[in-house]
Formats: sequence, structure tokens, C-alpha cells
Amino acid sequence: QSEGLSVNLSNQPIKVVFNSIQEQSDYRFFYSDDVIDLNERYSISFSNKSIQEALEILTSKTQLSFKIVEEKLIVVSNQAIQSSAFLVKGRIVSATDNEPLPGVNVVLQGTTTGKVCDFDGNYEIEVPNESAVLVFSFIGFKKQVVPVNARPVVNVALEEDVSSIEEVVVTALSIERDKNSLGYSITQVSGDDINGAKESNPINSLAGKVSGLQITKSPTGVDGSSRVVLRGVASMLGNNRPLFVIDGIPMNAGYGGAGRWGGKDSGDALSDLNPEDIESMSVLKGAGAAAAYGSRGANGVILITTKKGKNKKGIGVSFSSGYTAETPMVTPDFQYEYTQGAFGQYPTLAGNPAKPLADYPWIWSYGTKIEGQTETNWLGQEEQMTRQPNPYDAFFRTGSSFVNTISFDGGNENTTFRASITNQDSKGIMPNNDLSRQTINLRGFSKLGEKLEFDSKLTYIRSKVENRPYLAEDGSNIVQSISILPRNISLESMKNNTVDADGNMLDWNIDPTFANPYWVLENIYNADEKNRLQGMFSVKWDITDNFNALVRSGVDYSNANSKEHENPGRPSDGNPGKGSVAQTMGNTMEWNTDFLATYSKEYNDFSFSLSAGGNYRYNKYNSISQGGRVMKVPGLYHISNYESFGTSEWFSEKSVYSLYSLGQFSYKNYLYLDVTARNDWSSTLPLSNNSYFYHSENVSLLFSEAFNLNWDWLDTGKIRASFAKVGNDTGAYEIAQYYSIQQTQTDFPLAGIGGQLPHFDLQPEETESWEVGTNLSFLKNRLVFDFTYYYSVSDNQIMNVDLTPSTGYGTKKMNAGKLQNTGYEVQLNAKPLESKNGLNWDVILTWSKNKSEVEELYGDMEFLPLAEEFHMMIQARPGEAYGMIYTTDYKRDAFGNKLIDKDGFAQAGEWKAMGNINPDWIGGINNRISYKDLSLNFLIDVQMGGDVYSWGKAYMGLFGTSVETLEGREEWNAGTGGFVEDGVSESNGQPNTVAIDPTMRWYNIYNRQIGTEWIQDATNVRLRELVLAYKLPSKWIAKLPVENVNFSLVGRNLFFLYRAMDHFDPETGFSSGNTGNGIEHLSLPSTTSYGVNLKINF
Amino acid sequence: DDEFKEINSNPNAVTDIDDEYLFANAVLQSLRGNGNTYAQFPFASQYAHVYTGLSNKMFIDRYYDNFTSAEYRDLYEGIFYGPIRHIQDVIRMTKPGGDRENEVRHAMAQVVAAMNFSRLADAFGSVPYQQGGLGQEGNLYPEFDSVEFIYKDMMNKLKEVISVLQSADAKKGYPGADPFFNNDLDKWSRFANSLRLRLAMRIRLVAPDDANPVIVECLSLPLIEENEQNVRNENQDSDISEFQNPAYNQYGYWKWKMSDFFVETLKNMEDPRLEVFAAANANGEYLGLPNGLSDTELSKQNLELIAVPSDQLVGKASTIYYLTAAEVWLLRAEAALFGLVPGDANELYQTAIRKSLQQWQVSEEAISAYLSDNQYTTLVGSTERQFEQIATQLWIAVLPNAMEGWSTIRRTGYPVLPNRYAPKYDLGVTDGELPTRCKYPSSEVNINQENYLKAIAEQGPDEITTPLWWDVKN
Repeated sequence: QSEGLSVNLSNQPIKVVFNSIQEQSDYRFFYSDDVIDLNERYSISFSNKSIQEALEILTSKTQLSFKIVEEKLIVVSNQAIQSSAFLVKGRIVSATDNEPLPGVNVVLQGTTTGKVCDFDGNYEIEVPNESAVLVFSFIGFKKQVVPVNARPVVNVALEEDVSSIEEVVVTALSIERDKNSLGYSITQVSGDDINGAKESNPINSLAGKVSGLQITKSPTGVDGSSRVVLRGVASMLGNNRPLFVIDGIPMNAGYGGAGRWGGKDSGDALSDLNPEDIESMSVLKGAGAAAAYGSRGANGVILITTKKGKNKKGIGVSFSSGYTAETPMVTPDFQYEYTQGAFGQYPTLAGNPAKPLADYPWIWSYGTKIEGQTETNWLGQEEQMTRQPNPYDAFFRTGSSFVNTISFDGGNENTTFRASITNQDSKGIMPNNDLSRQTINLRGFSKLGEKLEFDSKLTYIRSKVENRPYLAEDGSNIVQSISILPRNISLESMKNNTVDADGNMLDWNIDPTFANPYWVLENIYNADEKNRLQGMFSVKWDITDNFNALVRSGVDYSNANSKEHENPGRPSDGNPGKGSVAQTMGNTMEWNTDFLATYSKEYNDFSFSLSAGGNYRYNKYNSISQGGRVMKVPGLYHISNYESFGTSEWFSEKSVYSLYSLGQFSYKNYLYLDVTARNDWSSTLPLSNNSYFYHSENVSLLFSEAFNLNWDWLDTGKIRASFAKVGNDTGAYEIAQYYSIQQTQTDFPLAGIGGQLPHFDLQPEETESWEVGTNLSFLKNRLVFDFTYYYSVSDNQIMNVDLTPSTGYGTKKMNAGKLQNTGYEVQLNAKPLESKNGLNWDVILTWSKNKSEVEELYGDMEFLPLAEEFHMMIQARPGEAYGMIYTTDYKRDAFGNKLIDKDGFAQAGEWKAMGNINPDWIGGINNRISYKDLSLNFLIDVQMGGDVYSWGKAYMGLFGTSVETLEGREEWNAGTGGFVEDGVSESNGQPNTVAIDPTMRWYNIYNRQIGTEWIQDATNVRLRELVLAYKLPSKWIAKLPVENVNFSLVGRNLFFLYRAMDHFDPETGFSSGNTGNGIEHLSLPSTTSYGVNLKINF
Repeated sequence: DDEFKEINSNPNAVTDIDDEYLFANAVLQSLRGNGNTYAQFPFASQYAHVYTGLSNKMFIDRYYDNFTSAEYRDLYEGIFYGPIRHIQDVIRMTKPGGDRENEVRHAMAQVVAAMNFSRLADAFGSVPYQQGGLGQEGNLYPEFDSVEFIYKDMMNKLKEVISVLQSADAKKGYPGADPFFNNDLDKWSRFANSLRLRLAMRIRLVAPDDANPVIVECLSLPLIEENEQNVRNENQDSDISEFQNPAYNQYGYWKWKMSDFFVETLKNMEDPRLEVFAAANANGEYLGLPNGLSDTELSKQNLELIAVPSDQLVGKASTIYYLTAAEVWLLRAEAALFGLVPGDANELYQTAIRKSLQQWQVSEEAISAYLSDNQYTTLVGSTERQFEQIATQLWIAVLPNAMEGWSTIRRTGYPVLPNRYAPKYDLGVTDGELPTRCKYPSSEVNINQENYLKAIAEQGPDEITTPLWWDVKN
């Protein structure tokens, strides 16, 4: 059509001429009324001309000039007022809601000159002449091309782009990419989503929001750690936490938790992240996504991008304040009816305080029915027996957390900065457990000319936590003490009687495992104080338009000082304890320096980007500890005040050199290929094996674009595939046998040999994984479906293999074991309701299922113990899933009935796998309903399947404090029956009818170490998060010096819609290690928190 | 590469060390380490009916065997990881052709190895001996050796050791690194010879042809004769926890009481050592707690009145004994009684009792009184009756080395333990019979299965009722 234009007009307005050409072609004329006079008349005639020829004719006959720009647009301007450069400004808003759009790119067409508009959507740009054309582009909006046409002000309303789901996400090495181009699964969560119902540990806010990510928070006091696992456990005994990277710098984050025999959870350092500073978190789930991080990416990577300042006029100030209160969510179901004692009798108590002579059975709560009778109480006084309330309700206080952040940001087109200061004061539900944390964060970004960009960050965190609670089978575990406290003893009486005249602990029993809880509160103290500095500086040089280079160096340094002391007076060694003190000072450092050079080029439909880079990493840890025993003078906790003392020193360092390269290729914006190659050289491996290579290949095809599928119901469709191979090294000093000199007070220096044999020829660990997935978007993006299937196998695992003790050594570092994981992940984003300026409802559904299988262990090894608890073991066995719970089952007949002996007791049967710590699947339903300035978010979190071994239930059964121990007591005490075990008589096969003393029923199970009843189904559905937010309407605050006021009511962990487990929240572990979600041992109860948040932008 | 090497070398430890520091450690661990502690407390002292434990140590006293394996493991690992790991490294260094070849040190190390392997063999039976504790040399699946082989081999090795030590240059020993005898090689050779005698006496009933000539040989060489030659370790009140007296640590934790059988036996003999070993109750009486009571019976006991072990046995500064003059004199009395060597059994018997009482600082008057008018301190009656007297004194004299007490009961059948019957006693898995051994820990069963199965095929089922090779007398 563009050929053969014909015009034959005389004395017609120019407008008619334009119309005529427009009718004959696709071209459109664009002009401004104040530049040309449309009514000026001309006589124009030509025939069969091309558009260029036609425009030449017009140019010669008029005072106008013409220029063809993109999209077949012809810009008309006046030849007379061709001029020099001038300034254009304007404001860019979203066509949807007329709100300003900050960050829109404004580029002068045909050049690389461009600007980014500020926070209020304003921009200014110099154009060379009046016919200049500006291109406005912004993620998620349609690009607009606007001729300036001599106008000094060009305002633009950008329309949202619903036809493409182009979503920019932060990927490995902090490279921003279009999500469509990725061959692997990635989920990005914005800071707002994390900040809604704030957790002091922001990682916990990801629970239920990212498919494939399992987060289990341990209720272990303020600053407790969380178990974070992506796509299942890959390393049987190693670390399975993803790598955390903040602004390109890996962060030190170990995992915390107590051991089986006690201790406390010292946190996992993730809570040092300040939620207010987070811009977004990207979860790189598989090795394919994370391959650029080498071995440390084997468990996936969580990339955290913090906020940068914004280019705007003046300084933006924002203030946010949040207050939350927390209370126990689940407390055990106690029995309220029977006193201390056994066999239905109250014990004979003697001495002062009055204690039963043998600790059991008389310290159990299988005594007499509480009916107002008078007995000698533990203080030796006559007391009327009364039912005591649930001790959890009486003991714990309402916890609270008060967080205030003030941040400043500002800048111009060349330099931006942001500074924030946060203060957090938290009080745990344990009455003396407090946290105080201050964070200062500075971020600066600067452009020097057109070519150089500087980015820098400095974060200082100071925190102090007091009285982290003692956990598991620890004599200082208060929860354990109150759970088995005889049901007639009041907490009040414990509280009012903590020490005797000599200052020694008063307790109702003689077992030091169950101490007076208030004595513990008053006499055992621990505190840790940490100073942490994270700094980063990077320079990016745009050498040419196609070639840039980046150098970045960042350090994460922390200094921690922990102190712990116990006053004299607790019975130990048969006598009152004499007091002790322990103190550790440690420094941890990680320093990373990277360089990365990138060359990108486009050839027609084909574009590529090639990068090459390197990394040097250095880790160092050193600490000094001292401990003292036997306090000399009361009340002074200085090492000099202890009769015997010892010190120890620890040091380790490690370095890794890496070289890597990345390649990204794309064809016509629908076919993408990414490749990564990386080689590491680690100091921890033998020189001959210290180099290891990984690579990944990722393909993504937008088939909807490739095949031009113009289906109405499908907006875009993408399939992707990824393969990766990564390696892993080990810790420092593990390839040589060392002798240590022991610190002793003997007359002789003593040398010891460690119990771990080194492997002189250790190989790097190897994980291979692949994944395939699809992403489909329907109904104008109102429904987006994402599916991933993955498979990974970790071989040659570096682990400490248990040796048979007769070798003289406990373990040996070896390459052993193979574990595979397969799984599915589904994410569905839907907008069931959408109306402009009205009611909107967004739903994000996540679902994931992981299946692990242990393929091999070392040699003929039958199983690898992963964790132990009384009467159970968590194991890895070839052919079985990782984390099977082994315990002794009841003795059963062929039909599964319990076989009951002639005396009415169940018997111990087979030791076998009776549960698994891993869920069958996990999922979340995240809803966001908004109406104008009001929004409601709520997240329902589901865990289906998985088991927890509940030792708390076992203890409460043995001690007779739980509700289920009531069965048969009434009858037994009345002589009319008792507890009748459900099963068949071993002698005659008939249903068992022998009634037994309930005391002996529970003791029998304990004594025979039968764990069946302690294995609890972890299935649960909970309202994890609820946020009701309100943004004050602009007109209300128009006269105030503020821009925005947001107010929200928040709640976390509000209630269970379903919970299978008795007495406890299934998320009640005492450790965040690999098996930390599988054992319950009377940790603190999980908590419900609710509060208010206020955020004001000035 | 050099940088890596430097970074990956631990500045807080060394890769090469003088064996003397390892030797001192192995020696100390032999008595103060977990192996000895766990052998004595939960198992031997209860099986020997010296103590009665409360709380969860009752299960051992009640002859159960279904512990979560922690108890067996603690004992087994305690010996292998403590003394054996370290002494095997010393032997590796000092043996002919080793990095630090030294025949004197090698000989001393052999004695330490023998004292620990014999303890293992007495508790478990067959154990990895020739290949045991050699993980560092790459032996990760050690084969077991029978009790018979272990005993005979140890006796042979000790013979060589004694000949080396008798003519050794003390400078080549461990001056400054010998917690037992401060490098007194005469005492070391007496120790080696007395240990060899103990081993030979243990097997004399099952293998008289092997044992008897050794016994004769032992008596021809210097033995431990005086208390100052005793193999022991002294503890101080000031010891820090790492090397705190294990007896003291174990005592408080498990609330041990004196065994009723022990208290009554000593009371019956008017033995002045009763006051040494046990603390009287508030009424000034000595009462013991019967071993193996059932829960119901136990709950009837007034535990406040029952004697606890004295500070001499379990105090922080109590001394740990391994081999004493009294034991050696009693073994000599037994050898004389059965005519294996010439000598007056009664005279040897009384010397032994005197040495034992002196060891515990019983006054000379009390010693004379005990020896002069006590029917129990003079050998009387049939040979068997005299044997019972010797064995009973042996059972008392070895304290606190209750492992020897338990072994004595198993070997000689004396003293005769009280019968257990239901329902007063909990009969456990042995029907009330004294356990004859400990079960192998599950770690050994699991990891070293092939060799374990071979061992039990030869020795008998892995039960606590399977008698050891030398346990032939009823």
C-alpha cells in the first residue's frame, strides 16, 4: 500500500492532504496545532509515488518538514522554526490510577541519552531540536513514543501492559533479568510482602510464599533460629541451608539450636537482617539458578536486595513503627485431677524440703484424686490439695516486640543515598528473655559521568540477647520442669520458695533434671552481645555501550561475646553446685572480592551477553573461651572469683579462588539459553583434588511467541529446562591428623588425638540436578500458572562416616553416600476479582512436594544415624527416604493387633521405621483483597504429612501430667477396673480384658522403650499471617507535611484450622539443623503474635 | 598452592609430636577416663554387688540388657577412644622400625595396652585386639580375636616386656611423663609381672597347661609386694572437671547406695574396712540396699537410712586403684593353696589382708585385732572353703576396681551371691542370674557386622548370659 500514493487536490487545507495520504497508507501524521496551521491551503498533486517521494513533494511545496519515525509515524514540523537544543520536562503517571510512576526511563530516540524520572514521576531532559522524539519505557507498562514537537512540557500517561508477563527478577550475581528468559525456577518476593506481618527474622516471612521452600521456626526464645530447606535435604550430614547473599555479598549464617542433652539456640544470624531495609528477596531454588555461586549455591540461594535511595527532590523521610505482642499458641493438655504420687497414692514425703525418697515413681502425678484433702506438701506443710491451672498459662508472660525505623533517602540523577536507623526491643514469653538490637544502614549510589557507577553499603548491627532459654534434656529447661510438675504443686509455691537458708535451690524432687523453674530464672544467666559490620563497595565501568566491567568487594565481620553463669546452689554431684561461669569471645569474618566483565551485543534477531569473572573468598574464625568453677565470693561473675578455671582457643581459616563465566543468548525474544561455568580452588581439599568445575545450562522457550499463538485464552506460554552440576568442598583442617595439647592441671603435658580420622585424598562433593518447568499465563494475566519438576542427586558426599569404635576412632571424613531428591512445585497466581479503583482480590497458591531417597552409604553400612532421642533414632538407610524415624513398636500379631501379656501389659516388638520427618507436601494460600485504600492479606499455610517424635508427650505420659493418662484411674482406684490395653491377649488371641494400674501402663511403655505413641502426625493447617492495612486518603493528609500514612493491623500464627499433633505445635523443635523439625522435646510453645504497624512517608 | 597449604594448616594443633605426651595421656585415661568409669560404675560395681544404683542405672542392676545401647557404648568407646587410641599411636611410633623407635617405651606402652585390652575382654569377651584401635593405619573393619587368643598373646607379650624392663636404661623410658611410677622401671616391671599373674590366674581353670607354667614364672620374678608399688592414680580436690575423679563424678549423679550384700558380708566378718568404704547413717548404723529389688519393694525402702559409699571410694580426692599388693598376695595364696607353687597359703592370705588394710589406712591395732581373732582371716576348712575365703577377700581387696570383683565372682563362683526371686526382685532377662558379660554396642554391630557375626558364631550369642571362655566354674 505504501507504493502508489496518489494525490490530486487543489487549494485544500493541508489537513485534507494528510488525511488523503493516511487513507492510502499505514502512515499517520503527527503534529502540534501551535506549530503548523492546518487550515493553510495548498494545491498538491502527484501520482504513484512512494511515501518518501510524496513527503519530498510536500516539503518543497510547503513550509513544513517531515520526518518518519518508528511505527510509521510522520512527524510534521515547521521549517521556519527549526531550532537548537532546549529542555523538556514533564510528569509521568500510570493511566490506570493517575498515580505518578517513579523510575520510568526516558530516552531520546536514536541515542543512548536518557534519564530516569524521580519519585514523583517527574523528569527533565534536554533535546537537540523541536522534532526530537522521546521514548518512555517502564517495566509492566507499554512503551510510548512521543514526539516533542517543540513543546516544553510533555506529560505522559503510561498504560499497563497486560499482554506480556515480562517480570524482572534479580538473579545470580545480582543480575536483573526478564523472568521469561530464565530456564530455571525463581521466586521473587517484594519487601512489602515481607514487611506486612513483620517477623524479627525476615526469612520466616517467606514461609508459605515460595513453593519448594520449607521454613520451620524453632520456638526457642527471641532471636531463635529457623530451619530453612529448599527442595529437600541434599547433604545427609552437611549444611543444607541455602546461601544468603545480600547485595551481592554472601552472608555468614550458620544454624542454631540446642542438642539432645540441652543447650540453647544462639540464633542463626538471619535475624540480623532488617526487614525495613529489604527491597526484595529472590529465591533461586535449584543448582541451575545458583550455579554461579559454585558450591555454596548447591542448596539454592536466597538473594536479598536492600533498598537504594531514589532520585528525587529534597530528602525523603519515612518512619515506621511496629508493636507486636505474643502469647503461647499451643499449650499441652494437662490433667487437673490427680496429685503427685503413684499407684493412686500420695507419696510419703520426708526432709526439708519434703521429697519422696526415691525419685520415681513417687514424683509422678499418679496420686490421689484432688478433692480438697489435706496432705503434706513439698514444703513439709499440711496443705489442702487444689487443682492447679495449666502451668504454661501461669508461667509465661506476654512477649512483645517494638521496632522503630527511620529512614532518609534522596539524591539527584547522579547520586542517590539512603540511610536508616532501626531500634528493636523484644521481650520473649520466657520472663527474662530480652533482645535489644540497633541497626544502621547506609547505602550510596553514584554515577561519575556517563561511564562509571559506584555503589556502596555499610551496615552496622549491634544486638544483645539476654537469657536465651535452655532446651531439650537440660536441667535448666524450664518448660520441661513445668510440664512434669506434679499437678497439685502450685507454681506460686515454687516461686516463693526458690532457695533455702543456705542459699541452695529448693526443689520438690531430687532429680537435677527437673529444677525449680524460678530458681533457674533467678540464678542462671546468659547473654550474648554481637557487633556486626557488613560493608560493600562496587565500581561498574561502562567501557563502551556493549562492554562493562564490575569490581566489587564486601566483608561481613562480626564480633560476638557471650557470657553465662550459674549461681551456687543447684544440686549436682550429689551436693549443692558451687557456681560456674563461662565466656566466649569470637570473631567471624568473610571477605569476598569479585570482578565481572560483560560484553553484550545484538545482531538483528539474535542477542547475546558474555561475562567472565572471578571471586576470592576468605573466611576466618577465631575465638577464646574461658570457664570457671566453684565461686569464691557470691555475686561476682568475674573469672578471678572462681577456684578452678580453664581456657581454650579456636582458629580456622579457609580460602577459595574461583573463576567463572556466564553466557546468555537469545533469539527473537522467545528463545533463551544461559550457560554458566565455574571453577573453584579450595584450600580445604588436598592439593591434588582442590580444583573442581561446575556448569549449568538453562533453556527457556516462549512458545506462545515462537509459534505466534494468538489464542485468546493464553497470553504467554513458556517452557524451560535446566541442568547443573556443582561441587562442594569441606571445612578447614580436615585432611591431616592433628595432635592437640590438652589443658590440664596434671604434672605432665598431655597430647590428645582427635577422634576423627582425616581423609588424605578427599574429593569434592558433587551434585547434579536438572529441572523442567512451564509458565503459562491466561486471561490477560489474571491466571498465571507455574510448574516445575526437578531431580537432583548428590554423590560423593563429604561426611563424617561413623567408624566402628574398635578402630579407636569415632568418625572418618570420607566421600560417601548418595542422596537423591525429586519434587514438584506449583505456583498459581490468580486475580479472581479485578476492577478499576474498586475491589481487587489476588490469590497466590503455592504447593510443593519433595521426595528424597538415600541411595548409598559408605561400604556395607546399614544406616547412618542422623539424630537420636530417648528410645528413637532418625536414620538414613539405603532405599529409604532421608529422615526415617526408627523406634520400637508394640509387639503385634499378624493382623497388627497389639499382643498383650497375661498381666495386661503391651510388649515391645520390632525396632523399625515408623515415621518420617519430612512432609508429604507443603503449600500456602496467600490472599490479598483490596478495596481502594484498604487491603486485607492473609496467608494460610499447610503442611501435609511428616512426623514429629514427641518426647514431651512421652514425659507427660510417664509423669502422669497429661490428660490422656486419666484413662482408667477412676476405675483402678475404685477397684472396679483400670486401664485396659487395646489389643489381643497373647495367650488366647481374645481381646484383652485385663485391667492394669494406669501408673504401670505408662511406665511399661517407657520401660520397654516403645515409641509408637510418641510419633505424631505433623499435618497442620494454620492461619500464618493476617494483615489489614489502610492507607489514609490523600485528601485527609493534604494539609499535613506528610506524603503517605499507612496503618496496619497484623497477626502471625493466629490459629490452626487443623492440627493432628497432641499437645504441641508440630513446629516445636529445639534445633534448626537437618533433623530439627523431627523431634519435640519440650521447647517453648510456639507463639501467636498480633500488633500494629504504622508507616509514614514525609 | 603454598598459600593453600599455609591456610589449611591448623595453628592450634600439630601434626607431629613426641610420644611421651600421648603416653602420659593414655596412662591417665586408663584409670581416669570414661572406659574405667563406665566399666566400674554402671556395670561392675552393681554386678559385683558392691553398690546399688538408683534411677536409670537400676536397669543394669536388675539384669536388663535393652538399654538404648548408650551404656555398653560408653564403656566400649571409653576404652577404645581413650587409652587404646593413644597407646596404639605410641606403639606405632616406638615399635621396631617406627618413627621414634624405643624398646623401653615400647615395652611400657605394651603394659598399658594389655591393661586396657584385658578390661575389654573381661567385659565383652572377644574384641578386636590385634587389629583393634588401628584406624589410623587404615584398618576400619577390625577382626575380633577370641578371649583365649587375647589372654595368651598378652601373657606372651608381657613376658618380653618384663625382660626388656628389667635391664632397661631408665633414661630411655618416660622421665617426666609417667603418671603411675614416675619412670621407676622396677615398678613397671613388677606391674607387668603382676598383671601377667592376674591373667594367668584368670585362665588357670580353663587352660591349666598354659596358665600354670606362667604362674610359676611370675613368682620367680619381682611382683607388686608393697602398697607403694600399687598401680593407682591419685586425685586432688582441686582437679578441674576434665580430669576430675570419675568416681566422684559418677557418684553424685546416679545416687549410688552401698549394696546390702556387701555391707552384710563385711559386717558379718567384722571387717574394719566397712567403715572405710561406707558412711554410717544418722543412727550410726550400716545398712545396704539389696540389689535388683522390684519397683514395689524398692518403694518400701527407707533410702535415707541406707549407707552411701564413703569419700575414700567416691570422694573427689579418692584414689583409683588398678592393681594392688593385696590382690597379688591373694593370687599367690590361691596359687599356693592349689599347689601350683610352693608356699604357705594362709601366711600369704594374711599378708594380703594386712596389705589391704594398710592400703586403706586401717590402724595397726585394728589390723591385728582383725587378723588375730577373726575366723574369716584364717584359712580354714576344705580346700574349696579356703578358696572361697581367698576369693571373698579378693572381691573386697580389689575395690574400687569392681571389674576385678565381678571377674572374681565369675571365675571362682565366690562370694556366693544371694538368690533373686520374683516378685521381690526384678529378674531381668537373665532370670535373676548374674550377667556374665556385656553386649556389644550397636555401633560395632552395625558398622563392623561381618566381623561381629564371625565373633559371636564362635563365642556364642551376643547376650549377657553367654559365659566368657575362662568362666567355667559354677
